Amino acid sequence: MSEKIVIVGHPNSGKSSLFNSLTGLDQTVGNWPGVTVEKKEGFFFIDDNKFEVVDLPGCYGLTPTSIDEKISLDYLLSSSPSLIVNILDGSNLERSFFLSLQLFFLDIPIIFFINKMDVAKSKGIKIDFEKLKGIFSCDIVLGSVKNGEGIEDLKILIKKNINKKVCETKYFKVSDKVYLHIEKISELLVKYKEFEKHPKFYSLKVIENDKNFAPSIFKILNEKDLSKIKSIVDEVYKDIKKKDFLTLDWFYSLSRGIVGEVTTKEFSDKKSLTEEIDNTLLNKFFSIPIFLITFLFIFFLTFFLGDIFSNFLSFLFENLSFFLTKIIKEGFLLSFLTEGVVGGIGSVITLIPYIFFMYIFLGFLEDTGYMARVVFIMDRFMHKIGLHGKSFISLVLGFGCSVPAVLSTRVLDTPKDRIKTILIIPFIPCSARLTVLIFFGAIIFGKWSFLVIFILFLLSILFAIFSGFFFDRFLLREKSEGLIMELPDYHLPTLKNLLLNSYFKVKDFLKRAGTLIFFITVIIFLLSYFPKNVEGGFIRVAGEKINFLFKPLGFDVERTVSLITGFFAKESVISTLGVLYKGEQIERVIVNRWSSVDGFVFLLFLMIYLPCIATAIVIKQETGSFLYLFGIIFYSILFAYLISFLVRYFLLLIL
Amino acid sequence: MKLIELKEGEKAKVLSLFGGSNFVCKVKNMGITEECFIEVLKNDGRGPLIIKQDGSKIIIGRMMASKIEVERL
Ligand SMILES: Nc1nc2c(ncn2[C@@H]2O[C@H](COP(=O)(O)OP(=O)(O)O)[C@@H](O)[C@H]2O)c(=O)[nH]1
Ligand SMILES: [Mg+2]
Repeated sequence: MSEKIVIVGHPNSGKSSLFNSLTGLDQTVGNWPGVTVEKKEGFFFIDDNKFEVVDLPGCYGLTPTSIDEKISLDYLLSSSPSLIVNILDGSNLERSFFLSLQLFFLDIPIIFFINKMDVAKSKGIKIDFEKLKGIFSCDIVLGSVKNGEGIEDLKILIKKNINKKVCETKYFKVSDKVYLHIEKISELLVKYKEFEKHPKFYSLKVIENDKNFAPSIFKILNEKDLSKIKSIVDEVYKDIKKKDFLTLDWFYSLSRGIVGEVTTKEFSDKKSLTEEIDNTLLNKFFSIPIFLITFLFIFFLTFFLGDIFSNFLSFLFENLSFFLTKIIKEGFLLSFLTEGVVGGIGSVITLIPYIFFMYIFLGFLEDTGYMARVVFIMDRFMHKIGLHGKSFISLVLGFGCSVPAVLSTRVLDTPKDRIKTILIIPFIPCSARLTVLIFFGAIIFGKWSFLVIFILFLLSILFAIFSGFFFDRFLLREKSEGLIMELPDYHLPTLKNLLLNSYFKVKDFLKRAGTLIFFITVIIFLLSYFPKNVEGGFIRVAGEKINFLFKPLGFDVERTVSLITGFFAKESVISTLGVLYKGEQIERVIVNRWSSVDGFVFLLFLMIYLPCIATAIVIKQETGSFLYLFGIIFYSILFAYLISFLVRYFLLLIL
Repeated sequence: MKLIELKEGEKAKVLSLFGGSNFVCKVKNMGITEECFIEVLKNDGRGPLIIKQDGSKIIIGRMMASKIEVERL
């Protein structure tokens, strides 16, 4: 039998860091609000007792305004954990108590872990532990996850507190009438089995008149209770001006009161280091040039370092094929091993260095806190396509891989914002498409390839922007509500976190895309090998059948087929062509057969047409609708075709 | 006056929030409640503002900032 505990805290309070040090299962540690998107579960032992622990997405309070917060609240209400470990930010207690006070209403046992005491100390904040214990009846630990302080104490207290008492604070009772009214309502609600677990929470929602809860609560109540409750609510608002979410003001004033009572802060007039840095990085004139240079530099480094490792890996795989040819000589087995297996694995493995370095550098920007500044800088440009700055982060992630980019839209506040962003992401050139570009670019354009790649890259980004306009004007016209988010202080990231972060991302990529690419390659190989009496096999026959569609773009049968397999994973275009141009070196075939216009148009088409299958799956999952998925598939094919067609005839005319 | 009209370095008290319940909720969750005190750290006249409230800094878009009524101190 194991007990279930949950870690709850606001974004950036250190939940994931605590989760890691409890379970020992290291995972991503980020720095911009809302980075914990997936539900992370783990377990650990204290003596012989097993504890399951869940790392919930960050939330500011219990009135959710984003999917992340909704996930957390739903989980707390439905799963009935034995204990909440509420993690507070010792350097920003007002914000933290605001959440803690609301958690009391869930009637679940709770422990406070006040984290980041090292930061609090450096800011000159002192916390009076005894006074704090006088205010709250629950157990409290002061510590710092980063320095490993307080973790052992926490473990001992976790064991002691499981299923124990529900915490109280004298603050509710002395300070305001609101709490008394909430208690009165919950006495009525507790009789209903729907509300018996968290009666105080539902009472709070009734008083707040929270549209996500109140109407459905009223529906369940019988008439007598309903009228009683309504009169209690009227009582609350009798002497005061009616305000939306009055209780939130109340929680804030309580938490400011508590902070005033238990902490002292040395007064300092000096600007903090973060403010000094922001003076430069967010300067009205320099912010955009600095941003552009930073990102250019990161792209340069990613490809510079990626190339070195990737070339080395390619070299190994070539030698492996060579070696196999020497010992097996000929026949099906040789083709299968060299073209199918080694080719398939090779095309996946040589991608890894690019992805790894991309995530290292993106992770670095996240962990330092620069990403939040990017939101600030890009906000006014994103408004032009009806979005705001937070969407830009998802688009940047899209340069790595569309799948995590689509998932990251969960921190956006409204469904319209999310859908718009999700629909643009497939047009951001991801690292897989970039590898395809680099591979073919080098063959077709030689020393000019970097220029051609750059042009294709720009065209593709322009098209993403165009799509943003298009969706904004014709599809989802509703304006976004606008941006509001915390600006974290700068942190120096640890190398360990960066490496672990990238490691898990690459592992995820290998699991998700890698196996898929490998199997596609093997299947393509088999389809092109059999039936043996037909040159080029089954797939060639199929390709010939539909090739007339792509004749106007100048594609041969092989390229047509590779477009189909490219849907499964964009990189598999390379391995498919490798398999289909049988027996010959792919480089030589391309140089001989493709004109540079052909090559350019083919690459352009590849950049725009169809999201890959993994992306398609998450688009369906996150928008919850096949309509958007098929819409985006149709839209992308249509425009890929149109644009490639126009560009081809334009180029043929002028060259 | 509106929050958006404040200049860099000016301090103000929040008077009221004009908007739908989702807007009010979001703003209050970030600690910007009626009667609280804020300081504008950055307002370039375009793009979002950065304000300081208690110990934390908040980025707030111009659209949202124009829906917050404040009183300059
Ligand atoms: N100085 C300091 N930094 C911490 C501490 N705990 C976490 N952090 C940092 O705070 C940031 C956010 O931590 P994370 O665990 O991702 O927070 P989450 O969003 O709540 O999951 C990371 O950069 C951590 O390295 C601490 O005790 N002291
Ligand atoms: Mg986290």
